[in-house]
Amino acid sequence: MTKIKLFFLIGLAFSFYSCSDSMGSQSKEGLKVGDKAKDFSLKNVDGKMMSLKSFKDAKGYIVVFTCNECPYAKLYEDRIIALHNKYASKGFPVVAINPNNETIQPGDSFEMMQVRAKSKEFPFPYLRDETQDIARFYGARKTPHIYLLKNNLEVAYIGGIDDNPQNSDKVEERYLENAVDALLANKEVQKNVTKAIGCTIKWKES
Amino acid sequence: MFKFFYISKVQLFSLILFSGLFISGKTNAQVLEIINYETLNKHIESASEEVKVFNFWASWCKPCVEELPHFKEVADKYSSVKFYFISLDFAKDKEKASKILEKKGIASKVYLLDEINPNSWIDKVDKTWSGAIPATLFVDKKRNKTSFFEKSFSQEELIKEIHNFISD
Repeated sequence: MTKIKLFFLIGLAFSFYSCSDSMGSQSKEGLKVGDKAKDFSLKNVDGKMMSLKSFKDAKGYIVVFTCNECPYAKLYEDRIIALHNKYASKGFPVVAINPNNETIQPGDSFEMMQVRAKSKEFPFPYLRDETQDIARFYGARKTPHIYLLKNNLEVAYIGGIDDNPQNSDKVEERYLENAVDALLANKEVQKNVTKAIGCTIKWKES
Repeated sequence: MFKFFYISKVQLFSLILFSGLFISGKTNAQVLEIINYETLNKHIESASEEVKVFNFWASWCKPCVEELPHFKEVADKYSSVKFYFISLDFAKDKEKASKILEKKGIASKVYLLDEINPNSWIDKVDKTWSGAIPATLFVDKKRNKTSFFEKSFSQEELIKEIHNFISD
């Protein structure tokens, strides 16, 4: 009898172990389309704390995990500025977040972010995710990595910006714009996940 | 006055010979083969007795370049595992990628994947891949088994994962 109890207990312990393990990997995956994202309070390059709720009248948010140094982030910088200029007035502002650890990548320090934002005259907030908690919660893995949110913070689209990183003049499909246009027209986003090359987020060493 | 600029036929000949040597020395350097996804897929899918390891990297990716020597070391140690180095540099940056491989002493199975739209092929390599590099794919055609890693490796980690993959 005690042997059976013991087996049962061991079995129970194992099932808990494997359960917590699978939950761990699930949270590592981050948000999926349809999930509820969460708001944050992060420091903008102007020194002020900023949240999604700081945007009055937003119909949604184009959350862009990006950085100063990654060549793919740089390739898309002007396109991200153009996106904000096109969609902020329609209710979809760009909110850029830099999650890179500055010890690993000094070029992504808060001061360097301020320099970059000034020289490129970013028309959108450029926020520092110092603890990397927001990048982890969202499941961002690279820069650039886009999360398009509805105003109730439901994730509508995850992925890249368009189909041609090399040459913005030769873009054929604008994945992100199509998704925003669909939301503006109260339609379903047809292609709600795309894949793009990017630089791994520089996670701080644990 | 133009005496100084006069070059004899012999000098001219040797000059051509010398520059020829120089040029051929250059072309002997690392040559990356430019391929499309279809060709890459053939390498991934081809029947093989050996385990294949595909490392996705680029010259602009610091952690990728840092882990290349680990792959080189392990490739030298494990002749039963075939290593492929797939550069995701743009084709116009082929020279940059070649120079790095040359510096690291990596000479075989080096390719540059030239595809315009990353969304057209990333999922085909592995569904779990976000598109961040470095990334590495292990393939065992004999057992029809793959393993995918979106991370950078230390040499110990790489050896451990190869052992796990082979013995699992």
